[in-house]
Amino acid sequence: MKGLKVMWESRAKSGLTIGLLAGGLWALAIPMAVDDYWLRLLTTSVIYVVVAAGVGLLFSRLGIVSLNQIALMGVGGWIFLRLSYWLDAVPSMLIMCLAGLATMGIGVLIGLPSLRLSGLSLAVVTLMFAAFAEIVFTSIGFPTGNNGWRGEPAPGETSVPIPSPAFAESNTGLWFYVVITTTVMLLLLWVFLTGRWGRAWAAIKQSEPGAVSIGIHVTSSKVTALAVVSFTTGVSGALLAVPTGSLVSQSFSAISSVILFAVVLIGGAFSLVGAVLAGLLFVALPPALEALVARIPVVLELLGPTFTNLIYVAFGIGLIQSLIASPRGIAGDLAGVGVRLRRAQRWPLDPSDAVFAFIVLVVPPLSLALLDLSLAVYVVAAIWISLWLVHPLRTLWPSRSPRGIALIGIAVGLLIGALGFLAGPWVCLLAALLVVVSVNFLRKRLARRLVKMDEELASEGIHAQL
Amino acid sequence: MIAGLALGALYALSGVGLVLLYRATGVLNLAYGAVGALCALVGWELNQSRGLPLELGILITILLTVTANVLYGVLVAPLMAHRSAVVQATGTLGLALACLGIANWYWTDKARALRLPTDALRFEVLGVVISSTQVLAVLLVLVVAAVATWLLRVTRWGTNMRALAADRELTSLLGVSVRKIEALAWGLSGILAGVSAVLLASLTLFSAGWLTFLVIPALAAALVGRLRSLWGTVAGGITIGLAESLLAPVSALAQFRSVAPFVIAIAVTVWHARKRTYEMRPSA
Amino acid sequence: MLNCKDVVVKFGGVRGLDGVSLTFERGISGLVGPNGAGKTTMLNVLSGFVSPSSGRVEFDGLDLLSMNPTGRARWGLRRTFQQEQSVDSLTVWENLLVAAENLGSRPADARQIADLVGLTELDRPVPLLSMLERRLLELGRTIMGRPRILLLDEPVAGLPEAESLMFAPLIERICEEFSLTVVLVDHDMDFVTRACSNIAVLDFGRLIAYGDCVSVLSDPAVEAAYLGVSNES
Repeated sequence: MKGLKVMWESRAKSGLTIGLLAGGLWALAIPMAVDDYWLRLLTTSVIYVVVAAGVGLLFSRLGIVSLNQIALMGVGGWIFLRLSYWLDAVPSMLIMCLAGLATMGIGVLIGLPSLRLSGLSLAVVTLMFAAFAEIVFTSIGFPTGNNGWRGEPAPGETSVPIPSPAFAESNTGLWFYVVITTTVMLLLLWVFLTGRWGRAWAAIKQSEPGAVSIGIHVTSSKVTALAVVSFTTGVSGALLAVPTGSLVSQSFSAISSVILFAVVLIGGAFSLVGAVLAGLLFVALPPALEALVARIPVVLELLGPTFTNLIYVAFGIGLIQSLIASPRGIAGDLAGVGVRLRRAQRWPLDPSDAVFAFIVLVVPPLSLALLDLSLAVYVVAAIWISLWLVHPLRTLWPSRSPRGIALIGIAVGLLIGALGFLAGPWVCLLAALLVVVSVNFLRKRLARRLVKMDEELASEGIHAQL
Repeated sequence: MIAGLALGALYALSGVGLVLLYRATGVLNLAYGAVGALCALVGWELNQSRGLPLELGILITILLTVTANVLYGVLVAPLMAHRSAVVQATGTLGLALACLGIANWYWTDKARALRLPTDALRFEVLGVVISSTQVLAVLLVLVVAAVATWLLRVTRWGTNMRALAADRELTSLLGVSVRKIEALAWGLSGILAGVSAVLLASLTLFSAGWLTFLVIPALAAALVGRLRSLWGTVAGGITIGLAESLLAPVSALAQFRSVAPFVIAIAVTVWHARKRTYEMRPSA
Repeated sequence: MLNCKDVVVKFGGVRGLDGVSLTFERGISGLVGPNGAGKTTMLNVLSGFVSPSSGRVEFDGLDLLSMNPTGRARWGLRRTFQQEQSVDSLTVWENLLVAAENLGSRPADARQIADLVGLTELDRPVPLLSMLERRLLELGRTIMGRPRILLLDEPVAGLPEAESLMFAPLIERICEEFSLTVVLVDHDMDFVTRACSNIAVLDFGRLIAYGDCVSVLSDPAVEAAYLGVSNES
């Protein structure tokens, strides 16, 4: 029994170690690789990763659609701002936790009655709360360092921002502060997910009557999930308020809660990678597109200055597409590639999963940090192309040794990477596409032939038996 | 008070559209307001810059909402038909986002004015000025609720719709053309969406963001009717409209009057949630 | 002693159970009847998923209807479903563990129960299990903690004959080990007569016969309602 438990925990823990290691390396590499503007933007993205992870947890583990998470973030931020004015001697970490607890109370209060009814009424009620919160935030505003319970400046008074802590002065300091806090929040979610509650949630997701029959209290299990997620969301809202000591109500509109839900499904509700993708899509994609389109005047002229609204269209379509065709989102599709690769052969990706994880997750940020940015991009590209190639090549030449196939894959990958470094990104992209597509095409034709051979062999076997 | 009644009638009208669709297809259409908003903007644009007569613009608006609704109902919704009600509702959020995106991109979120000819037709009853748009709204919701009740209860289409909502596969086995019925339901709900969008745009504010969230009071009204009862929905919608207009004179609460639907919906949910019911169909 | 008195269940205008009174003694009793006779409804009433419109259900004088389904499971009334409910996203061990945690049992006991029902290689994910193993796992999950009553709804459905044969002695062993009151619903009359000492027969929501296997099987009312039909076909 003990051995089993240890084995299970060690498997879960090795995943956690790899995740922490890779995340830590990315966290170290990014401040060195990007400028201040993008660092601030990425800092905000990281804050939203926690909220996205919460939305994803509720949807993927319990099928709960909660459409008020951004509003709850605003609630957390509002309470944090007011508390840090009243309790200015208390460390901000503690105030954040208090704000998180208060948000948890509100989140549970909203969810409890409708949870007892149905998932649909929870979705509807949370959407209504998001609209409600938008109205309240717009009309009373976010508190600043002035008196009164709303903390807004009296007529004639100027608004005083709440002083931000010393570590938030530098962008890099803020980045690490945010990364550490979010890691703690994600660990909290992880602890719940892999423990007793996570197992109860899995049972509920499988079948509510089944869960009830083994003594699980369905409503209180769901409320626990809602409470934990509301807590982490509230803390993230507080975290959002830390750097500037103020918040604006536009950040917490009702539609942004809906958009967050969409990007979580697009990124992948089942995994942390999906949450990271969702955070990036939500925060960093619009300014990134703006920066990109600003350089291409033709597109700007064609689409007009309000073109970022068209991202909503993409998100809407993406949401529908994820629901119908890709329930695990982009992260799930990527993981599928990893699994296929590992199944395909042992050598380059085993002895253990750690090697695979090392190649995919650790080398790219390392090279980003250590190498010149342009060179690093091609190193990363070469690695990914190699990995993409190994599986198709293996089925193309089933007789070759896995080691040889892997060497060929890596050689081609490096070649394309080098070509890109010498001739520019477009050449790299084109060459990679060409190679991957042609190998896959050949492989499909071969696979069809192999299937035919298999069928013939099988029918021969049947005849022999008869 | 009269304004509140008219507003409530429009919420009720939208709520009836939601309930009708939900009862027939099992889809709670959260894009109800967004589709109406986008189509109303197209109609408005044709009227203002292309010089089409207003009546034609409105007709086009309604035709477009019907088309958009039917297209979604026929092409996209069936792909999710076997999923839970909450997933199907979430799917329509995608449609809402897409519509809102297009509307904000082309027209921005600026408020516009839509003047209906019925606005000018005013008369006085007991010292209160009433516009005929308001009368139209109230009359319309009563007529629509009555017709929809008759449709669901009495006609063959209605029976088929109710069977469809209960069990899609079983109904198709009975020889009912599921797609046709669904398209009809989406179309009918589209007409209501278009009409209520136009009337609401004229009575209150005409902006994409505002009309998109028209779905909130409509949903609250539908929740009052437990997503089933058409007359319950009508009562809910009118209550919400009246509550909003009664809050307006109280200056301390005036800015919060739009929270009325949320408060009412929460109260109704708490009331309905007193007793837990079990879904006795273990998932496969 | 599990005592049902005048249990009536109405589904709209239809009476799913129409005044059923019967007493299940300690040991294994069968509950049989043609399709739609109300067997599963009876289990749902006992386990709390359906509230009867009138009637009483007592166990040794304790009113079971006052507890909700989760409360009944924790108290010791356990059931299985026609479709087995093991959690696909967890391993065998985690499936046992989640039941143990919520039914007031320790992980060490969960391990013993795995041995008792004969499950090995506990770190496998559930989708890789054979149907027999899934049924064994389901049985193991229901006897965590302190079971008192076990309601089995077609525990051998979907199993080949050879495998379902080994189920009867297993249920007997479990019944003795925990001194349980077991109610077993199944279509397979061979299996029911092998496993049960007493059999109750339902038809159209009414109890038409109750007694030991031999007398029930020769009862003319049962022949007419149920077995006669199956003999003809």
